[in-house]
Amino acid sequence: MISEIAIAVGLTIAGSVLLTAVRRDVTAAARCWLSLPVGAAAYLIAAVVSLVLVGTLDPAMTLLTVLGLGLVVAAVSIIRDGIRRDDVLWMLVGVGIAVVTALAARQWHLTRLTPDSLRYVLASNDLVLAEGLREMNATDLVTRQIGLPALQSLSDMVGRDYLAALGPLFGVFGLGLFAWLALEVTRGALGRRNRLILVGTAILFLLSSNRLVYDSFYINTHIQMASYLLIAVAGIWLAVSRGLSLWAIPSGLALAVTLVFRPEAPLVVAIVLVTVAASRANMSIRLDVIVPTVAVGILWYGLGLWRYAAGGNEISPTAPVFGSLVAIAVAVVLCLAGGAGRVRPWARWLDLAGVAGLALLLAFYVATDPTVFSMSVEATARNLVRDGFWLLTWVAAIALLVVALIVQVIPDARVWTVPIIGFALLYWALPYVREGAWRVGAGDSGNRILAHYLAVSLIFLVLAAVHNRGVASADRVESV
Amino acid sequence: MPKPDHPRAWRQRLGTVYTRYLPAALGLTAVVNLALTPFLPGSAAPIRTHRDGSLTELVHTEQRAVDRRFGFYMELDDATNGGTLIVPMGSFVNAELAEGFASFDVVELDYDPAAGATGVPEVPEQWLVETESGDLVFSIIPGNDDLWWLAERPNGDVVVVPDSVAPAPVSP
Repeated sequence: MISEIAIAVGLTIAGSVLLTAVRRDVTAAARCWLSLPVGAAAYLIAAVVSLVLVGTLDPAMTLLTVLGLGLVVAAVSIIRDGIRRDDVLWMLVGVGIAVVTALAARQWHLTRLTPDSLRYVLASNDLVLAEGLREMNATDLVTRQIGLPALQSLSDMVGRDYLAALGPLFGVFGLGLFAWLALEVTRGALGRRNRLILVGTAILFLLSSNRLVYDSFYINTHIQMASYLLIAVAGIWLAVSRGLSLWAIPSGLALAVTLVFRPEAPLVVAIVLVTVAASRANMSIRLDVIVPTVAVGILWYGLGLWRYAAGGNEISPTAPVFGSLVAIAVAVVLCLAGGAGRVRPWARWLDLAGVAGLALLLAFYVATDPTVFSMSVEATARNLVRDGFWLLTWVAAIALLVVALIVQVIPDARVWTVPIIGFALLYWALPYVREGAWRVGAGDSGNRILAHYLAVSLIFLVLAAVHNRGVASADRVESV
Repeated sequence: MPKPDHPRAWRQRLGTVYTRYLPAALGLTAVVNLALTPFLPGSAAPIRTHRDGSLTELVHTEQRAVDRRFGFYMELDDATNGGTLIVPMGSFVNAELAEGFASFDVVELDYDPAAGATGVPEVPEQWLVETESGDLVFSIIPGNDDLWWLAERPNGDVVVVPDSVAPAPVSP
């Protein structure tokens, strides 16, 4: 148990010390909630480097390397700007939360396992072998990726088959970040009481979402994807709209590591990058977001999957590896070009053009094979209202999203609206690029991936409550 | 601020309503969600204790040599269902390995579709099977190519279930 706690603490401290580099714009409280996911992201990027370039993964050495790098970053930051009481306090809070979470996860053993989980756990055993990527199932390399196996490889250090604490850690830190974001985006917009009621009910809404809570204990990639997408989208908005440009660094790291969690992640990343391309982001923000994605994209898709995955070197627009590389490359080029002065007036429409293109592609797919769409619609409807165990979560969220999209006047709103609409379109397009229509049942991937977008959607709902035409008048605060 | 007959006025009013009632909508949804959660099937429970937190090796060392990656199982819901076993066949099953198991006794299975409704984790390709005595529940997963069925007895014996005995696949 002590070893598993040590791993949790190691990842948290790694994230904390690395995040000292962004102290100027990211508050100590925010860094506390970012520490575990950012530490894990740094570990994952180091793991990808090790697996692709060395061929194997030594989890202990990789974690120590990340910790060492973080300590160097922290040392430079402290020498330059000194150390603040807040920094130490919030870091200790983060470590304390990691310890308590790991302790609770091990004490009560809340893990949920399915055969899907088993494939990830088996893959984690493979990655630590001499030729880890060759040992791992070649199809699983694409369909399951190495994000979760690489994280679960840390269990190798403690002599267990899997880490029970991993999911709960992402769940708790993700929830903390959600609460921090909800408080942050409503700051100064509402009276204290109304603000706390709004934030409190939003947190309660998230906590009552059966599938999202389930994902915190389920060995699969969903809670990680939900956490990282929240960091990516919220971080970009804070960097662009609030002028807190250093938020782009954790945001870029989070976006990059989604690439090693899910096969559809390159398309999700492309949507987010095209949003950045059309935004007011300066070149520094763009580079901070792009560089980790390019590094992970080249290493993992270009070198790792291309060489080891089943059909990895197939050249076709719909091939999982080649198509993903093209999507990432196009989005990166647009993102860079959009920052150039002369292109900017045109670039500001790129995100809308991207969404329109995605909608047209979906329309083409539907026209080509309407059966897949109708079956997906039926399965999704049944999953959302009953069979997917979402209870009222999405029924309410979708209705509220429609209203929020109409009334919102959020500054730089498209950083939120384009990804949310883009993810929705992608959801309907994905059945055409996988094996078929979404199916009825909580276990279908269509039902499971809905968890990735819930926290992002909910923060948008909260933002829309404080930035809409109805709250433009002076009496808005008291009317809530 | 737009006048009442201005095209944007209705959006303004809608915005006011949205801001005023969003907490109520979120809170009410959460309360209903929490109230309905106990009525979900057991497999939907976000929190379920798991006996020992470890995967147990199913096959012997020499059999692992056939396919090192095959041979783990997980135990789920033992407190609730008296032993629901997941045997991960997937693409790892092969005839040579299965032959090794064939020396075990084959258990007679009496498939009870109703049993499939209890405690099935969220795996489409998975079915619950109950023995005739009704005191043991197996979870059996077919291989990707050849349809092999494995089951495990309470004493740890692993058996290959022939097609003639195995139940017809029923989606959960």
